[in-house]
Parts: sequence; C-alpha cells; structure tokens
Amino acid sequence: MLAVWEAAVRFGDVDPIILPSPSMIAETFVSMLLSGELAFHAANSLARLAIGYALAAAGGITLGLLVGWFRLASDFFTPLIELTRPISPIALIPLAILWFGIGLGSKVFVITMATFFPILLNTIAGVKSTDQLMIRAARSLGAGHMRLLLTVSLPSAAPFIHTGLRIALSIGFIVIIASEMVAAQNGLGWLILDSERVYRTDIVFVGIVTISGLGLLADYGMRLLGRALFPWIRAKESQNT
Amino acid sequence: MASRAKIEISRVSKVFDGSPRNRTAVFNDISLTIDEGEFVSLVGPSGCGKSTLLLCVAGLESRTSGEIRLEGKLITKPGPELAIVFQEYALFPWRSVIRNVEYGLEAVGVPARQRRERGRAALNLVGLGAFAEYWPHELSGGMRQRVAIARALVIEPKVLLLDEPFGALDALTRSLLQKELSRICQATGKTVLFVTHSISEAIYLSDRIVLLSKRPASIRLEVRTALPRPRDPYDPEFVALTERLERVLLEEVPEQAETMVAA
Repeated sequence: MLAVWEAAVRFGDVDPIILPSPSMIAETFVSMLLSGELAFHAANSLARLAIGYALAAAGGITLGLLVGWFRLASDFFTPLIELTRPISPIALIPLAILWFGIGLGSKVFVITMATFFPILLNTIAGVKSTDQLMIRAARSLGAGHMRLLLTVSLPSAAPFIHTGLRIALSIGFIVIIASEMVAAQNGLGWLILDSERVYRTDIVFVGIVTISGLGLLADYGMRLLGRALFPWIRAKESQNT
Repeated sequence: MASRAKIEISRVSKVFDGSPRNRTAVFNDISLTIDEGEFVSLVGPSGCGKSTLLLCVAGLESRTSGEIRLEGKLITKPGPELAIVFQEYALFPWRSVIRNVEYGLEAVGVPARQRRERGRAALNLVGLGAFAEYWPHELSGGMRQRVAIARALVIEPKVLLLDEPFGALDALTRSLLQKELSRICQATGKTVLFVTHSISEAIYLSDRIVLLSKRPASIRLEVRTALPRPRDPYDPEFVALTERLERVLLEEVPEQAETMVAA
C-alpha cells in the first residue's frame, strides 16, 4: 500500500500539500525526531494526558467501589451519573477554556471528564458482578464488610477496572488531540493543526503517525499488564473455548 | 453422658419469600442436635432444602422461625467458628493456594509468620504441601477442594460444614477424598455437618445419618452407623444399610430417587 502511495505521489500529478509521499513524511519524521521537536510536543501531550487520566482513574475507581458496594452511595450517585454521563467531553472544551484558561488546567479537565466515566462504570459493574459464593466463603472465614470490599470485591472487579482503564486510555488519546487543537501552544494536537495552517502537510502526517503509534503502544502495554495481573482470566478463557 | 451438644437446631423452618403468592416452604420444624466430635450427614432428594439448612447453620441464610445454637450461643451471623466448604470450591482465583488458605487467618488478625506456618501445616494435612505457590486455576478439581478444606480447617472452626463438597468430582477422586476427609476428621476430632445426596458417601463418613423428606423437608429417619473404620462399601453390613436407606428415599420421591440410584 505504501509503495502504491509512493508511486502515485511521485509519478502522478499529486500536490504534496494535499498528499505528501511516504518517503517525504519519513524524512520529516526523522529530522523532527533528531531535532527533539517531536519529543517536545509528544511529551507535552502525554504529560497532560497522564495527569488527566490519573485523576480520572483515582476518582473513577474510588467512586465506583463506593457506588458498587454501598446501597446508599448507589442511590445517591446513580441518577447524578446518568445525568452527566452523556455530556460530550469535546463540547466541554470552550467551557474548560473559560474556566481554566488555555493552560494546563483546561486540557486536564477535558481529559478527566472524558476518561472518568468508562472507568467509573466498569468499576461499578465489576463490583456488582462479584460472585456471591466468594462473598459467602469470605464471610464464613470471618471477613467483615470493609475486608469483603477490599479483599473480595476489589480483586474480583479488577479485570473490569482494567478494561475500563483501557477504554478510557484510548478515548484519552482522541480527546487530548481535540483539546490541543482548540487551546494550546504546543503538543501533538497543536502541531497537527498549526502545520496544516502553514501547508506543511508532511508534518500533519508526522503528528498523526506519532499519536497513533503512541496510542497503540499504550494499549499494548495495558494488555500486557492485564495478562500479568490476571493470569486466571486467560486460564478461564482457554478452558471455555 | 460424655458427649456434649455442639450444635442445637430447634424447630427451625424456612420459607422463601418471593411475591406473596409465591411463598415456598423449604423445610419445616426441623430439630437436630449434633454432639461434639460427631460426624453427621444430611441426606435427601435434590431440592429438599438440605443445603439451605446448612447455610442457616453457617449463619449465611436467615431462618423463618426456630433457633440454631452453637455451644448454647444463638447463631446470628457467619464467622470463623463455623467454616463452610462449598461444592464449587469458592477459592479466590486472584490468590495463590497458600494465600487462599491464609485468608481466614488474615481476617482474624494472625501475624504473617504464624499465618504462613499454620497455612503450610494445613496444606500438608490435605497432602498439598508442594503446591503452596500454585494458582487455583492450575489445580485439578479434587486438589482445589482439598485447598478449600485446608482453608476451612486452618482457622480451627468449632464446626466444619460441608455442602456436597465432592459433588462435582469424578468417582475416583471422590472416593479418594472421602478417605482423606475420614482420616482428617478422625485425626482432628472435628464436629462435622455434611450435606450429600449420596447415601453410600454418607454411610462411609458418618457417625449418624439424617434422612430428609422431599420439600418442605422434615426429618424422615435418623440412623447411627457404628461400622468400624475405615469402612468398606463392599462389606455386607454396609451394603445392607445402603439398600435400606435407598428404599426409604425411594418411597420419599420415587422418580428422583431412581435417577439418584442410577447415578
């Protein structure tokens, strides 16, 4: 596919502003990599993502455990969650700028909002799906309420939480680009939009490739983490199939 | 009398409340005393409520009326004095074998070193000393059930409750584990309440067998077995007792008992 693309651009009549050739993109990629420019933008994007994601994970898991475990918390928070969940995080970007300026705060806010709900909902589902037999066994071994939550429901919800974290991370990679396109002076989102404005389509492609690669790498890491943490899940899968 | 009442079940009934129109009596007015060190089996047709009765004794299921006492104290909630072993093992898949066994000790605050020692001793007792660091999913069904038994025994419960513990195992493993359990109970002198639908299993293990009727269950028959241990299922007396009890069960629920005997 790359060869056809290369040939089409080189021998056909394609304007490199519309579609630069793969070799040109690669050349730009290498030079930006060597100059450190790419690393600078990527690091900025990843830092914002990491902060927002960490906040969402901490909040989503904690609230998820409470809502999944305590009836009272569930009664109170469930309607609230249902009401706020459908809000598009992208639609919040202008508000975020209004409230937090165009600095770090607005991006972190948008990322947190976008990644919070998948983590929260998966945590709740995980806690609620705890096998009653495990609960019974633990209770008869002397475990009290809090110990049940922390030593039975939390580990049994862990694979669900992990799935939530994975989904949230991929959403995070989408949203960070959108928010940087609207309000930033650096980062991969800004780089892509700014390069388009000055007709450096090759840099646009470099940005796209970089963010996609990073997203892919992050998801791969999460999958490895899941395999290392939950060996019994794979064992169950291979038994069932 | 030398024997002391460990568990007293007095006039216990259980009704499952669905909707007002859907009230099912599970068992009715059951009274039963289990003495210290005694091994008692509850046998009955499937669905007769014997497992529910066991859960009531464990404090995991509420009763509709009546009282259950452990050493004279009313049982109101589950706890380490009454350890239960389930048919489905109920091991924690996220804990290694040894850490499963240590769970109950953690819950009552035994220090880590002592936990490890007692956990290992319990695993040795069930013959799994070499598998401490394995994951439950790496073990066979019979081995998992041994872990569950070790996990229950290690907290030194006053009574051991077993809910069809060998029901999911193949015949060979089953008879092997029956032997093991018999040996362990003889060695530790545990008071045991055992639920099974297999009459020969009950005879093999028990000091006393309590036959329950079909739902709503009541006690149909109580038999003491004084056969010398280890018992031999091909011994004429063993066979005669099996036949006698099977006949009673057959009268109780013909169609269910037949399939049971066939199995």
